[in-house]
Amino acid sequence: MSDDSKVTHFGYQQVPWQEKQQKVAGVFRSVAGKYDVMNDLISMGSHRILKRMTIELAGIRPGHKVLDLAGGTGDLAIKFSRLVGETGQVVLADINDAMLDVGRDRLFDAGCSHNTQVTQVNGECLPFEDNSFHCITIAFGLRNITDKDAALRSMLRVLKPGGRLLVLEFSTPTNKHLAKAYDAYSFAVWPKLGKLIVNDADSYQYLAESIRMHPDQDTLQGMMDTAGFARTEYFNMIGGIVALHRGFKF
Amino acid sequence: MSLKDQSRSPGLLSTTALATVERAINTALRSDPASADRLAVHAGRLIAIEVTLPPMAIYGLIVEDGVELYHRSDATPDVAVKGSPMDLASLLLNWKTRPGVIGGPVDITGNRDFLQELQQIANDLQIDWGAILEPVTGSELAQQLDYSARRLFGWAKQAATRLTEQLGDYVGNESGLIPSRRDVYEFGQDVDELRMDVDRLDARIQRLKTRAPSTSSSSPSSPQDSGSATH
Repeated sequence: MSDDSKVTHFGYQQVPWQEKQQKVAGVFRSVAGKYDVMNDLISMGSHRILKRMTIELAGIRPGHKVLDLAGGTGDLAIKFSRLVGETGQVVLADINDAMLDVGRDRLFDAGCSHNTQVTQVNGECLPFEDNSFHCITIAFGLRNITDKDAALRSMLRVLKPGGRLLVLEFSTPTNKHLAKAYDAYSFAVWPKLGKLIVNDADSYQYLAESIRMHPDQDTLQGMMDTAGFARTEYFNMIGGIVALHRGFKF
Repeated sequence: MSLKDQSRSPGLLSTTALATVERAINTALRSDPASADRLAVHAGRLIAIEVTLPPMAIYGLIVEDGVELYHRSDATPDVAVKGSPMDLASLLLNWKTRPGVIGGPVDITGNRDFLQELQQIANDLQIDWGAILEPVTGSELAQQLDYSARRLFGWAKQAATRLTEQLGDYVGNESGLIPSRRDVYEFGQDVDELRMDVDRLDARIQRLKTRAPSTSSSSPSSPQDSGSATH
């Protein structure tokens, strides 16, 4: 099938393969300014704890080179900048220029500009040399990438041997009662909050829908295995609402 | 860190608790800029605190605007301390030690000067409750709350000191779980006396041994020689 006739999902909609990237970009341009506020509201602050857990499993040491992919507003990159120290380097990368603008300002304000770089990239074809990074993280970003398999292969390529990938992403609740409550909360409340805070209900309707279209824990682990990652595993968080996948390059 | 440790699922509750402690420390530091500045000098340094019971490790990374706490770290800490919670608290917060209660042995490895500076900063930290509460309560009420908080914490510190002293006295004198200082002293004296007695006896034996060949050579046969020793 040629790329022209291929379709993919954008939330619950089916859209031409090439259009998803632009549609996702539109979502993030719309919410970039208040992205962190909205994250705090819809997750009731829990996204900060989940990101802390990601950092703890990243195993970052002084001197490491870290890629924070789909890093958006830079909250992980700021922490990484402090952990890698003067001799390390952090690359904050995102496909969306509006998100990167916010991230660049935050890194600068946090005094992290000395060991960080901000780069606009497409996760499906990362513009870095092979074996460049000790660690790659992608937090709440893989869901929005059109060709996830290509992105995983690209991440594997730029990881150093022994390096690790951490994927923090919405996933599938393991308890059906929790799943029902979570469905009710996310479909009923998130678009309303989006309307109230950023005057954009559609972006948060997309968020709720895109989570349901994202591969579940085992499927994503299988995709990482297929891409070539070794010792893959995942940790369910908040009953599987979010999962942290980890894989190594050997 | 071992691979087994790395495979452990991160705990949501413990991470939340650690984040809360981190927030409390940083809030306290923001209310005392002098202490925050002294700490910022050490930005980039890492302290590992290993609690023996319950087994738990906390890593504190000093950053320019405070501290960041983690449950795990692959980095080599600048200083590592290991001990029971009370003994560690006694060391890090300069609590008055009471044998048998708090102030027991703590393993320290790494840069002791850095640890000493951290102890000093923790000891000198003056939390300005008024500044913390002012945005919520307004300046007048904040000042009153600041005064009350200082009195409350002063009282709590005194109460804790009294409690540890009394606990130490109880454990040392009344429960018999550990000996009193006087008992230890007397026991030491007894040991010294016994050692001197043993030394004297040893010297006497040596002296007798030196005299023994002359007496044995004059004796026709010893019991061992005759093979008729009895027990």
